[in-house]
Amino acid sequence: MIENVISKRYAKALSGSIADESALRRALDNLKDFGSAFETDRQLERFFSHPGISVAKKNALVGQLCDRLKADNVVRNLLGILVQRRKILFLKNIADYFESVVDERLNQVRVSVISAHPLTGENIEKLKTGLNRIFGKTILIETTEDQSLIAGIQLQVGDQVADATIKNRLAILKRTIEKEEVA
Amino acid sequence: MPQFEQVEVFHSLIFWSLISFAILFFLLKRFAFPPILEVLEERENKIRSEIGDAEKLRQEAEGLKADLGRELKNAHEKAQTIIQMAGDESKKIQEKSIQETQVKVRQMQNDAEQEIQITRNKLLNEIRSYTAALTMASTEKVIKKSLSDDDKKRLIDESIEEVLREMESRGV
Repeated sequence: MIENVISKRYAKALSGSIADESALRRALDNLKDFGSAFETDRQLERFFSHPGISVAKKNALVGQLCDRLKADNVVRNLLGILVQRRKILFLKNIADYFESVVDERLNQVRVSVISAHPLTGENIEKLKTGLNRIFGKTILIETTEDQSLIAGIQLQVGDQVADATIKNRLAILKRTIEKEEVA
Repeated sequence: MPQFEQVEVFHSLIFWSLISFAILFFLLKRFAFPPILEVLEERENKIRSEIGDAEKLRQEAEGLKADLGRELKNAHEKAQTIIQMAGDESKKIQEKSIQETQVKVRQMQNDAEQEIQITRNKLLNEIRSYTAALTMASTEKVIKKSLSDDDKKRLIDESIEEVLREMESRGV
């Protein structure tokens, strides 16, 4: 839990140090890239958590990674501080919190849509318009496909889920059959 | 008769005999009879006393007999009461035992019925669960096979409307 508190604090501090909206988006992209890099490459995690490796070496690697990812200075500075304070392993958490802070500042909401079949541009636009009317915010839609849903879509906004898939209907039907009393 | 011819002799003899008898009687009365009478009287008194004692004893015995009879009667009555009480107690214990046995039997019956009901429900649940799973699997297969491209598009359109309605109804 302390990890969440620390991550939130750094995310808010980073947001506070960026005024420009485009810079805010770039910083978010940079942080997400770093977070993904830490997730995919376990060696990075081992490198940064190793107590025998000096801070200078860790900073040098952070610099190289920032160059490769063309990260902004503000992100470089944050990563430098995290290495120095041995909090670099919280990066994924910080990125997640930073995303929510950025969304709040830019008045946008992220929506995850899982469909059994590919959605057309028209479908996505319809969803965006409808959700924009409901939330009053810019809608960012992320789509994924899952054929096990059979047909229809499942929508997730934050911790809320609206499921209109055939799989869900079959599951409801199954539960109804299971609960049905036999005389 | 020749015997009566010597009456003269006999007169004197009779006389002396009477005198000697009188003297003897006097002596006896004077010296022998009193102690004898005294002994006799004593004996009589003793006998009377013994008879009185015997009578008293007899009366006491009668009294004792009557007491014993009463006590025997009481004892008999007590014995009857005890037997009656024992009989009643035995009857009560028997009735209690029967009632307890009946309760136990009823409890066992209820337990058995409950167990049967639980097993029945469990089996029914398993059957329902299996039937539901089987139905769902077959339905899923049939739906997947029978869905045309138009159906898929229509279902996506419908589901978009549905999720939007759901989100709106939640008043986000």
